[in-house]
Order: sequence, then structure tokens, then C-alpha cells
Amino acid sequence: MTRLAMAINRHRCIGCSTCALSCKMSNNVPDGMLWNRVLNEGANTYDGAVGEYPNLSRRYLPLACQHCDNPACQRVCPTGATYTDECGRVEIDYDKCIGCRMCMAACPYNARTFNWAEPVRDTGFNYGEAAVPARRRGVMEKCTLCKERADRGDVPMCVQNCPTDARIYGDLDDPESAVSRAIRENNGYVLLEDKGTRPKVHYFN
Amino acid sequence: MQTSSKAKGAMIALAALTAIGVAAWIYQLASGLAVTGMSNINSWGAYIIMFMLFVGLSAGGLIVASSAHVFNIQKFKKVALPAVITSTVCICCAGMFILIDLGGIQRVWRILAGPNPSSVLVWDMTIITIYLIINILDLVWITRGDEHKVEVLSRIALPVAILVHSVTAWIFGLQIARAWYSAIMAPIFVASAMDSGLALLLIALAALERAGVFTTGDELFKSLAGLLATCIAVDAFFIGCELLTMAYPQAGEAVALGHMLTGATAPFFWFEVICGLLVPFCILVFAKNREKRGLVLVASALVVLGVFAKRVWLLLTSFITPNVQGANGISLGTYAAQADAADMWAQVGSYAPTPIEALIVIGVISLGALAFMILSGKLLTPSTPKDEASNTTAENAA
Amino acid sequence: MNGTRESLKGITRRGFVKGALATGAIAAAAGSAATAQSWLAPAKAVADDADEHVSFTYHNEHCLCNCMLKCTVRDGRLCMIEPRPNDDNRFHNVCLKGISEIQHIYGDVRIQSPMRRTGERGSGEFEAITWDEAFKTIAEEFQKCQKSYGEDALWIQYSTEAQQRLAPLLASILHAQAGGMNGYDMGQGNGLNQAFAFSGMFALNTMWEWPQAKTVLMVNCNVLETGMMWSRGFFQAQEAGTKMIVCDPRYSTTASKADEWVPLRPGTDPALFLGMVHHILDKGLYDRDHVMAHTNFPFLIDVKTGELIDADPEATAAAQKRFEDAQKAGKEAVAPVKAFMVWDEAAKAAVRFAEAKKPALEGTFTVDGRKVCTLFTRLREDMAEYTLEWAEGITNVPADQIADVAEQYAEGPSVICNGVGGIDKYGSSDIAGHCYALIASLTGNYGKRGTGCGIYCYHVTPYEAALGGWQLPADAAPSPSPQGFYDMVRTDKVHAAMFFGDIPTQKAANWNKTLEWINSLDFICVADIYHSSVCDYVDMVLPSCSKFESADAVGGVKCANGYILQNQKIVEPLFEAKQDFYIEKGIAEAMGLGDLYPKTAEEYAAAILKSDDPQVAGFTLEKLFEADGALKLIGSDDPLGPEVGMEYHTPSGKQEPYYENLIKWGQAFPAWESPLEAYVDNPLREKYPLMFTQSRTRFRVHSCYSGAKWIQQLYEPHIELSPADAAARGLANGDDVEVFNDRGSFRTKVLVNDAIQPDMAYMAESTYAQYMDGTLMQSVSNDQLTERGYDLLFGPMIPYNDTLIEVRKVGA
Repeated sequence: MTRLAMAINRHRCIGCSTCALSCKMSNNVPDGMLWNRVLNEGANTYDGAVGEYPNLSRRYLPLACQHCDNPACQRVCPTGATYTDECGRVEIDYDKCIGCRMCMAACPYNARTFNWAEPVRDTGFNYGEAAVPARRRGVMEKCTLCKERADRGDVPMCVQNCPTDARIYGDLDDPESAVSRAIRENNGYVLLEDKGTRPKVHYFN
Repeated sequence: MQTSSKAKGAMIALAALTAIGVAAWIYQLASGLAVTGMSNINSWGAYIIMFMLFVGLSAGGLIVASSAHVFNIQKFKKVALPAVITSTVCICCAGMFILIDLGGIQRVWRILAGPNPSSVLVWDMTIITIYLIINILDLVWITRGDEHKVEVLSRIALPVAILVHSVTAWIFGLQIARAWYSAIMAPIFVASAMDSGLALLLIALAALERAGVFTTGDELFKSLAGLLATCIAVDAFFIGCELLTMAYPQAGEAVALGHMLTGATAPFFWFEVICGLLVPFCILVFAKNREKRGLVLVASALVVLGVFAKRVWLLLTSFITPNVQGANGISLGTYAAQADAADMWAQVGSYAPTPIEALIVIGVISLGALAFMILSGKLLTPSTPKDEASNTTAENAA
Repeated sequence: MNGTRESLKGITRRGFVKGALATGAIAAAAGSAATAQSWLAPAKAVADDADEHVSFTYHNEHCLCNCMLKCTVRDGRLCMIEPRPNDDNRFHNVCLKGISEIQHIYGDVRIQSPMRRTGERGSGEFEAITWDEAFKTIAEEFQKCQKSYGEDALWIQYSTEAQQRLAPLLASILHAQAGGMNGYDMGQGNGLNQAFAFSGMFALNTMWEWPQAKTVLMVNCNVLETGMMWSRGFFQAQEAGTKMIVCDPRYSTTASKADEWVPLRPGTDPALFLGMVHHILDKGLYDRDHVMAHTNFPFLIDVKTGELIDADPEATAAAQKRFEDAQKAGKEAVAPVKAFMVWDEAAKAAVRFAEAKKPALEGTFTVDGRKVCTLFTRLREDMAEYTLEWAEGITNVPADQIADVAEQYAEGPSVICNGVGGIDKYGSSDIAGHCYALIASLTGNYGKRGTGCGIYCYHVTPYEAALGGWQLPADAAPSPSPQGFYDMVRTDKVHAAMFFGDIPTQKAANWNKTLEWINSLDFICVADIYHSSVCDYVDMVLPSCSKFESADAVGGVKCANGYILQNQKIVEPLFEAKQDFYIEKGIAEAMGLGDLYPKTAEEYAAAILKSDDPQVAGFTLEKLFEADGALKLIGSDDPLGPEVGMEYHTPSGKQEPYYENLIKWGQAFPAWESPLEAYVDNPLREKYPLMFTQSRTRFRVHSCYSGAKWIQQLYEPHIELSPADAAARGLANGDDVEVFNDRGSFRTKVLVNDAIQPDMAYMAESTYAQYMDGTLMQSVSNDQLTERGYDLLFGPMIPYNDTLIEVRKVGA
């Protein structure tokens, strides 16, 4: 089996959002939404800090679909539009999505984004990977782990473009893969472990 | 009938509001759900609130009518027909709200083509369909006076009615992602359905009597009011249990509780507690008050409004604080987010219905009221003795 | 496209976007109504059958072309930007700014056609004109100006904000002034260069040596936000065990990832270092062997004058005369060097350095009746007052921490990595640089592996090739510019000007002064890609191509990062934009000088590749195409390059942290000097209590990318205050504020941020006026220049950060 996954080195994450924009570009994500965003955890401004000067800390948290092994979104989807593919990725069949947003309520990570309006792109044209399907108004979308790129052997765009190499991508079922090793050797953890969703996106440091 | 011209006027007004609602819905279909106040951080709003409310409202009728047959409560049998009419109309409204809330209604057939058996929404669609069929059969058989069939049906209807509210509750209560996640969600929904449904039934019966379409009689009205008091108490008890469970550890759920007690949803919470539970209970707990129809109606109206307020806080509180917090927050995906980068993000969920949503909601309610008037006019006959009717009139006048 | 800009005037950006959206919504509604079929059609790939191809280029001149890019073009539009695949992971780079170009180059802030001003200066009222009209007008104005006031009355200056793919030729052909000293980014270099006889700017070794260092002291450098490509060098060193210490008043991203943060007061870096030097001397932490072998600390000076003692002053004087004569005659000549002397403890006498058996490091002696001492002794005397307690008083850094940092640094091997923010924009920037040189030479932290000083985070390879250029007539050269732009705006010598990119609002402080100068000109013209702040104040605006547009297959070549990079055509010029090269050429043609130019940009690029440098032997445009737009310099495989070593082009060949030429300024050894304006005890703080720092950010390069919508989604202009300062002014997140002092004011939003030091206000430098209510940040910045600056290699620095302000709520 293959379980495609990612491990993110939070010490190396400098909060630049290159991954967020790379994802937007590659996946033709329309204006007003992002599949992948970088949070400054616990702070209320992007470059804010937690604590009182000079006793401060700052931790960036890149956040997108966690591709859970136990995906709450998939369980509640009435039409099976959300499914887990043969590589363990949680994907959406846009043709099946009826826009009920049950998955959005069910996702503990707010990882999903909905086409509330007709998708608008300031460029006036579709950008990104040619093979990425265009989504329409009224359907849900989210990180696909760059399915179209990965299926032809490339790594997800956020992994490729991260200026600090903070993202490690690979197969969790291969104990010798870089991602498995990174998680093992750095005491990797998942977000909201208590929710029992068993994400395949891990974090460390 | 001296009220018929008034009724006609009301029906024309309701039809007009319905038409406006339909127009608003068409606009929403053409533009997308962005015309609502919903966003990626607060993904359900007025439609789901009204869905929950109307599923509940439909309960009172069917439960009263079925109980009459199942437990052989003769006096309840009398109001079985108006009760089932209320129930049918309300469940249709609830169904409409769900469909209106869909972003891709043109693909709704996918639920039939490939339903996901683990989806609570699929359960809910199924149970609501069954419930609707029962309502319609009940309506037909009661009208035909097919007592035996009604009795058999009632034995199915009662558990189905309970299940409808439970499954609706589970849409929320089974979501580990949110503060909704609680075993008591189903009991609360059933209790709220009982009290709001009964309250609506009382209002409907009073209206029918006022219109001269149907006469309930004081005794029955009084005893239904007594039942309402009991339901309010049960509802309050369940809510109390949930609040204590949330509050006691002063841990995880304290955030949501904070929003309810002092935060954005506090006005709705306190309205429900005080005006939706405390005040009507205090009114109805005294037998003397239950005899005053005006007071009973005030209490009933407060109960319905209280349950509405509960739907609001129950739904929206869970959207306020995301589980994973930090700046810039969640990208909203709304018109505003598309138009201006400064409006793209929110760190805290907020929601206010837009005029379009309001018009659609009013349209659905109007259609429901219209359907109720038409069905009542067609199916009900003022079969009660004349003296009782005049008594009532006298009492009202007094 | 004509007239688009005018139609945008008068409505706000928000209004415009809303209008556009409404149109979109109507179209969408119409679309869905018209084709019910599309409701049920399956989701299709974005482009199954489109015409798609890949081209390569580099990005961006602003940040010295760190990123080699692979660009996907579909149906003639740039739809994807990725790092060009590279086996050397260090050069596999792109950042959010590069990605944002997907939208940016098509965005509504693009200048779309040549425009002539129709309203008052500053009104932003323009009419679209043709290129022919534009070229004709410019040619006439230039000719009029040069005829009336002389060739050097015309100023033509280039910045990286415009396209800048090929070295400009126009100023040379017209003998116009082309800009003198920069006035920024070189402040610390000004103080650092003499000691080791290099530019003082980019370190001579690279960050790939950092893993060999025990400590890297980062000062005025926020690499993790402003040089993101080189974050990997930071983390690589940190993961190898190198301790990263960051000095920054603000809790920057770099500070937050460092092993230690030194939160000093803004503008007090020299005090921090002087305190460290005091402690190092006090505790004997200096590297005695290094000091004796490789520095001039044992050299003797005259106690009274401070001048280095010369064993044979007559010979030096004679050599000096020969040197001056040769210079006058225009001949090559070498400046004379004194015969430096030391005290030989063996001989108990002052002797020439080369003859000393056992030179003394310390001591005061009498030679020929003159009182002399060693430089080291002078250093001790000079540093005596800079105790740790004194340093704590100035910097607000606890004395213990200063001592600790000094000890870690002294232990070495240590690196001082400076950026060009913070102190670099203070009057005392050179003193800071001088301190780095002093402390490094004192502790042996220069010359050997794992040590060094300078800028590390832009220039990450020791390899650079000498490239060719376009051959112009022998007399073609700009008129000498004795002054930088910052000085020129105070004179009336220039009567017409042309800028490629927004220079006036960025290369001079105190905008109102600059505006007076602009208004005094007969003609001023700007070519830029985007509608930058200055556009509204000029007579003519020309649309430059973005870095991705080219009329020719090749738009330019460049040597960067140890590669020769090729700017291939990604897309055709958008709107009516022209490459800077063709704008220049058009003007030259209108003046009858077009023949001096290459026929195409590609021809120019080919000429640049003609070079004798063996590192680029055989490199041609064709070879570059075959190699996907980048060829590694021949012989550049070793990432570290040779060790810097202990021999320098200083007069003595040694490390010389004593600057004899600055004796008259009291800065032979660095001495503490308060900032010009932004210091704690300045009485002006009663009116303007906040010290205002501007710095670079990951979201922009200077003002560029201000109009990139994808970046606006993450970040919009704002000023940041500490919670205490915000509360004292009744300010909350998102409030509209006015920032002001006696020089002027501007408006923006405020954000409250714990990362900001109390008494400080922070803002990312520069944005377009249209995003700040039509106001400019430079309205408040300090334009006072230090006299000492004119004696330094790079001239005086503009003290942008040496500025006091106050902030109030708009309308309050």
C-alpha cells in the first residue's frame, strides 16, 4: 500500500507563505480563498508574537487538508464526493459534490474552502497545472496533495517551492521514506490528535 | 364566514411574500450562496437554523396525534387532523430549507444515485422522507376516517417522529470537530421539538378557532398547555445537563460556553433561557394561567421564539472559534474576499443573514402558512357543538 | 487600451474592483441562465487542448537575481512559475513574490500606455498618447534642456524597479548625469571596508562556511524575511551546531528562529559593540597571536596627533609628490606607504616593523622626543569609558548579556553577518561597520575559515564573471555626478530628468523637499512597470515591460550566483509596454542617435556574452537555450572558494582597524556618537516620542509588489506599535492613523504587535501612495546628512531610520 503524506518542519517554517501562493497558482485556486495557508499560531497579526516584549515566541503553522486516515469529512459526505484514493489521499469528486457543506462542518481543521460565488480570478484566465480540473460555483475544494503532479511523479508544488525545505513528502507505508524517517526521528506529531482523525500530515520541531 | 375576506387578504399577502421568496431563491441560484451571509468560517446559517426549527415544529403535531391513538388518549384524537396538517406543512418547510441551502442543487440526484451510508445527512434525508410519507398517509386516513389504519400507522409514526429529531440532532451531535459533539444533542432536539411543536400546535388551534374553521375547546387546550409545561421542563433539564458538562471541567468547551454566556451568541442564549424556558414555564405551571387562553398563547409564542433562539446559538457558537487559531485566520471565499484583500480573512467566525436570505426564509414560511390555511380550509370542518364555540367566543371576549 | 488609466482615476480601487465584480456577477448570472447544460457538465481539466510551452528566465534584479525560473505559458499567458530544476539545491529557488507575478503582471496597477500629464502635478490626471508622441516630446525636452543649461543639466537614473534587463546606454550617449553616490545600503560598508581593504559590502567568503563557525552574529539582518532563498544557509548552519545570535530591536522572524536574541534599542549597535570590545579587552579575550601576526595593533602612533609613526617621512613625502604628479599626468601610480614602526622589546627601541625581533603590543614610549604609543594601547584608552554598564544604559541590553555575547564571539570562529537595514539608515552607520572590523581583527575572527564580516545573505557565491557589453563611441560616458540624488535635490543644477523606476520617492528622504525639486524641473519623465508613487508628480509616464516580457527571443543576460542566466521571452509585451532597452532606443532614435544602439535586445545580449573570461568560454545564447537558460561558470564547483586569508591590500598588508584618515572626525577607532535624531534623550521626543524604523519585508522589495493582489491578500501597508504605545494613544488594530513630525505626515493603518519594542514604530519600507490615501512614507523621514560621510568611500548615507514621529488616530 501507499499512503502519501507530508511532514512539516515548523522550526524551518519562516512564515513566508510561498507554499500558500504556490498552491494557489498550481491549483488554479480562485480569488478570496486559499487551499493552503500559513498561520502565526496564537497571534492575532501575521507577524505578531506571543508574550510580552522581550519575552516572546512566534510559531508559524502551515495548514491545509491533513489527509486524515480517519477523515471526518468523508464519513459525513452524503454522495461520496469526498473519498480516499488508492494512495491514501482524501480527494473530492467535484461532479458528485452537492454543496451541502456537511464536510466543512465536520473538518476540525477548517481545511476546506467552498465556491460560494462564481470563481473569480483577477488574471481573467485559468492558471496552474493544465490537468487540474476547474471547479464551479457551489462545490467544495481543498488541498489534493497536488494529485495531478504527484500522479506523474512530481512532488506537490508547496514541497517543491518551499524556500527552506521545510516540507518533506513521501510514503508513510515505507518506513525508510524520508517522510517516515523525519516523523520518527523528530518525534513528529499531528494536529488535534484528540479528535482522532489520524492526519497523514505530520509536524515536527 | 365573516373572516373569509380577511383570510383572503392574508392569503394574497402570503402568496406575494412567497413569490418574492421564490424570486430571491432564483437570484441565489443564479449567483451562488455568496449572496448569503455564510462563509468558509461560518458555513451554515439561516437556512440550517430554520431547517432545525421546522423539523422540531413539525413534531408536536404528529406526536400529539399519534399519542392519541397509541395511548388511546381520546381527547387528543379530536385535534389529530389539525395537528397532522401542522406537522406536514412544517416538515415540508424543513425539507425546502435543506434544498435551498445546497450549493449544487442540480446534482442533488447524486444522493439517490450513490448515497454514502455513513453520512448522517443520508440518514436524515431518509428518515424525513419516511416521516413525510407517514404524515401524508395519516392525513389521508384521518380525513377518510380510516381509524384502524391510523392506529397502526401511529405506532410507527411515534418512533419515527422521535427518530427524525434524533437524526437531525446527530447531523450536529456526531461532529467531533465542533462544540456540538454531545450525546445529549438528540434528547435536547426531541425535547425542543416537543415543546416548540406543541406550542405551535396551540397557536395553530387558536388561530383555526378564531377563523372559525375548527374548534378545539378549552379543556383540551388547557391539557395541551399542561403538557407543554412538562415539555419545557424536560427541555430545560437537558440543556442544564449540557451546560454543566461544558462548564464543570473549565477546559475545552469553556470557549464555546463563553461565547454563549457572554459572547456573540449570548443574546440568543439568554433569550431562550429566560423568555423561552423560564417565563413560559412559570406561566404554564399554574393551572389558573392555563385557563387563560391569551396567556397560553403568549407562552406558546415565547416557546417557539425561544427554540428559534436556541437553534441560533446552538448552530453558530460552534463556528466562532476555529480549533486551529492564528493570524491571518481562515480565507473566507465570499464576494467581499474576492473583491478586497483586506476582507479576505477572519480569525473569528461571524454571521449575519443578508436580505436575500431573509426574503427566502420569509417566502418559505409564507408558503407554509399558505399551505396550512388551504389545507385547513379544505380538510377541517367546524364539527364541534355550537354552544362550545359560543362559550369560547365569550371567553375570548372576556 | 488607451484611456484605461484615466477611466480608473476618480474611483477608488475598492470601487473599481466592486464594479468589475458586479460585471462579473452579471456575466456569471447570464452564463448560468443561458447554458443550463453547464450546470450538469462534468468538471474538466483547466486546459486539455491548450497551446502550452515552457521558457526560462531569472528573477529579480531587485534581489540580485537569486531565482532561476521555469515559466509555463499557456495560450500566450504566463500561467505557472517554478524554480528551474537544478541539481544544486542551493539555486533551486522561488519565493512568494516570484509566484505572485502570475497575477501581478496582468494587474490593474500596470501602466498600460504612454501618458502625458494634463492636470496639476500630483493630480494624477493624464491622457494617453502614442509612443511616437512620447519619444518626440522627450527628445525635444532633453535637447532644450541640454542646449540651455549644458549636457549635465539632464539627469537619467535607473533603478531595479523598472525592467532593467540590460545595462542602460542612454545617459552615456547623451552625456547626461546618471546618478552619483547611492546614499543607502552601504553605511556599514563605509566603516568596514578600510580595515580589510575590500568593498565592505559583500563578505569575501560565503554563508556556506557558516557551519564551520561556532557563532554567527547577525546584525541589522533579517534574512529569514528579506533573503528567504538563503534561509537554508541559516538553518543548515544552525543544524550543524552553529549558534545564531540576532541583534534586532524588533522580534523579527530571524530573531524568533535564532538561538539567542539581543533586543537592543534602535540605532545603538555601535554602543553594543563598543561595550563588547571593552569587555574583551578587560578580560583579555582578544586573540593575542592573531593580533601580533596579522593586525597593525602593535604599530606606533604619535600620542598627540594620533598619526602612525613613519620611519622615513622624507621618503614618504617624496613618494607622495611623485604619486600626485603621476596622477596629474594621468598615469598609473601607486600611493605611497609609510614605513610603519613598532617598539622592539628586544632592542628597547622603535624600529621598522619588518626589523623588529619582539614587537611590543602595549606601551607608551618616547621616540626622538615624541610621545608614542602602540595602537593597542590607544585602543585600551579609547575603549575605557565603554563599560558594560555604560553599554547597557545606551542599548537597554543587560550588561550580562552583552558580556556573554562578547565572550561567545571572542571564542570563535565567529562571523558577523550584517544586512543593510536598521543602523544602516542612521547617521552613525559607518561607526557600526567600523566596530565589526575592530572586534573581528581583535579576536582573530577575520581571514580564516568560519570567520568573516560583511553581507552574506544576497551574494552567496565567490564566483563572478567579467562580461562584455555594447561598444559605444569612445567619448560616450555619463557626465560625472559629483553628488548623489539625495544631494542633487538640494540644488538647482538639473533642469530635466528621466527615471527608470520610482527613484524620487525612494532614494531621498523628506519627500516634501524632493517634491519642491521635482516642481522646479522643466521636464520630468518616468518609465515604470507599475503606477508607483512618483508617477502622479511627473510630466510623462511610460509603460515598461515586466521582467517576463520581451519582444525578442532573448531580453537579457546576467551573471549571478555563479551562473550566466538568460532572460528568455516568456510572454509578448503586455498592453503597450516596451522593454527599457526599446524605450531608450526610441528616445535615441527621436534624437537622431538610434544608430548607436544594437538593433535588438537579443543582439545586445549576445554582445554581453563576448568575453575573454575563461569562466564563460564558449557560452552563447544558443548554448543557454540548450541549458534551459542557465550555465554554471566554468571552474566554480567548489562552493566555498579559496580561504580569504591574512593578506590584504591595506597599506601594511595587515588588518588595519585604525582609520588614520578619520582622526579629524574622532573616529580613528570607532567612538560612540548618538543618532542624529532618534535617540532616547532627544528633547524632540516630547513632541515626537516614537523612533520610526522602516525595513524590508518578505512581502515587497522596496515599493515593488505593492500592487500584487496575491500579496495584498497576505499583507497590506500598516504601521506597527507596541501594545503599550498603542494603548497610550487609544489605538486599536486596524485604526486609521496619521503619522507625522515637523517634516510632514502620511496616513496608514495601525497594527498592535508585541514584537515591537516600546517607544518604537515599525513599518515595512515604501509602498505606492495609492495604498496610503495618496500620502507617502518618505514625508517624515530624516534627510540630514553627516559631514563625515563625504570622507567615506560610499559617501553619506540617508538616515531614513534616524527619525522621530508621533502617531494619532485619523480624525482625532
